[in-house]
Amino acid sequence: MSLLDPVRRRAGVRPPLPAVASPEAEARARQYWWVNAFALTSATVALAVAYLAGARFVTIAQDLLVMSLALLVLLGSAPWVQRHGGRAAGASVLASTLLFSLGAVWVTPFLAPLAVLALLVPLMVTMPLLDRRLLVVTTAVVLAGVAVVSGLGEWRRAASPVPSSVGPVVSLVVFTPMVVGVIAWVVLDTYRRLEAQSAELRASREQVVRAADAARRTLERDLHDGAQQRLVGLSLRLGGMRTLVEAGDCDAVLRSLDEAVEENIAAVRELRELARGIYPAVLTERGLVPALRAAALQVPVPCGVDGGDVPRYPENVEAAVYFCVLEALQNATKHARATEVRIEVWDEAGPAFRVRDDGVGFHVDEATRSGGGLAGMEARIVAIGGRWGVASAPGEGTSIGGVVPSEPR
Amino acid sequence: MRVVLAEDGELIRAGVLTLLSGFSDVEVVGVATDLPGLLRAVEEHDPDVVLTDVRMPPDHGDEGIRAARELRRTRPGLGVLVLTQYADAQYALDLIAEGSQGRGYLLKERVGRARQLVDSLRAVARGGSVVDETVVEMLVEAGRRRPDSPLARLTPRELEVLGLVATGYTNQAIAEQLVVTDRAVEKHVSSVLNKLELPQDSQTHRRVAAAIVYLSEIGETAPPGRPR
Repeated sequence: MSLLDPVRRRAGVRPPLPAVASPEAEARARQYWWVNAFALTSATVALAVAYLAGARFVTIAQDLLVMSLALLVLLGSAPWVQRHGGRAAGASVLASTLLFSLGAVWVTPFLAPLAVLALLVPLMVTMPLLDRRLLVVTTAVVLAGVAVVSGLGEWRRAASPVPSSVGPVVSLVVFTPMVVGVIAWVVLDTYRRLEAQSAELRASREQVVRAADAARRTLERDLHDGAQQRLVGLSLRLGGMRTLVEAGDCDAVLRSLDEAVEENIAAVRELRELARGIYPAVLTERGLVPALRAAALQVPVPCGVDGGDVPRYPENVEAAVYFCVLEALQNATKHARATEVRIEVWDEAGPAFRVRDDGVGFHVDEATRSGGGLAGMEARIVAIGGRWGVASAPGEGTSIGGVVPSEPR
Repeated sequence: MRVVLAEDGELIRAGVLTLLSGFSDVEVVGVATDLPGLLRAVEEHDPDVVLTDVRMPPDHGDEGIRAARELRRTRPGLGVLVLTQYADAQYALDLIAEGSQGRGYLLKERVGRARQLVDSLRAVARGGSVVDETVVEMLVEAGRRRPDSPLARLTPRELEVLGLVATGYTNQAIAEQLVVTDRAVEKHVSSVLNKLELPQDSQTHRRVAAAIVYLSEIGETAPPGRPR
């Protein structure tokens, strides 16, 4: 898997993280292409059958010509779509729909509303796959198409009032199910996707709550066993000193005082470590890379940090990445028995990170199913709109990475 | 020694004042509770050394470090000892980034050891440097964990000497600490600096800066390419 590629640091090339567009959106755009191809083919066949069955109107013949051309554009671009995926599928459908809308509205102007609807769908489906520039271009094309189709419909209706005739009605009967079918597919598909997402969100919310509770329990235990014990010990010692003073044993009092100071220093040290674990001040003050450098110093095995010019990001983004890396470090040292760990942080339209170790590794599928640390890390990153990935195999070491799209502060 | 103290926590402020009052050569001439107050007090009293908290109003961020940076420009000769809750090397590095002369970084719990606090104040007022031993230990430990660590070339004694050099000990203080002769310390120090390819510098504060920067760099940069 890509996460395991050796780092090409010198060339400044970073190994790819999980693909930028989600595979779901990609698959969806391809499916959409097929749904379109199916709808257009069936509508063309239906219209041809109607024509051959005796509905020999000029408008039907013209519509047939338009649809065949649109179908030709769609199917003709199939190899290109195969090669280039989702965006190409969107472009192919858009081109074919534009052609179809203009032609069909020219022939049968009252189809204009239907054609406008059909034009909007490719934009809706491909939107998640487009970067800002492409989105602007596509939106402009669609809006121009919508304007032209509406204007064309109005003009044609006024210029050549269609005598009430059977031809356009047949076209309407064929086109409506085609367009409605495509739109219904998009709506249903979106609905199903939202359902799945909300189930995922519920699960990750539960995971977050569970993790927070676990963290509180750990904190309570640490406080109880650590600083609290020492402070109780300190009280006892102070009580004891009173007795020593009353007995007039000055040397013993001095000794006891020194010990009390040391005890207190140890308590402060423990509290500091706890406070750092809750939220390190250096993260707030200095940002991600300095905080990770500080964390790396505490890792019991050699731990390098590669982090160049990484800007400051919003607090929640920095915190998510920081704690995710910390969790990965824990995994590496506690479970993977790594002898060396490496942290990389860079900017990729937001903080991107990777933690690699040379530990024992594991089967990713099994570990992800069993939840725990990996699920927690994923939940943290996904919760703020990031992507997260893990690559590992027994004996191969582990690589955990992610990227959170975010504007610098 | 005239001291300006800046600390927003009432308890600690009172504690430090009581503690310093036990030393006849230490006089607290001004007390501030925030960054602007500290800078004003320095203007007004012209002290030998400033003892300041890191986190203070107005932003509760790193005001103490900022004050030290500002004072480096306006009063290069003034010593600044920063008292902090944070055992983070990053802050110490920031503090000495524009010169380590007359700069100190001490963890707050050291106020429990009055002598250490006052010794550090004196050292910083004289233009020396002090870095808390916890920070140095952390850096040395991290540096030693590297598989091909240059620190592995040092003998245990030399490692100890390196720690003391980075903490800001003078040769004489090292000799006292280790109960050896000055000559022996000189030999150790020069051997350490040689092995680590650090410049031989008799100026204690420059030694501190070189050692801290060196340690923080080897600690965080594991050799490239090992884990796949």
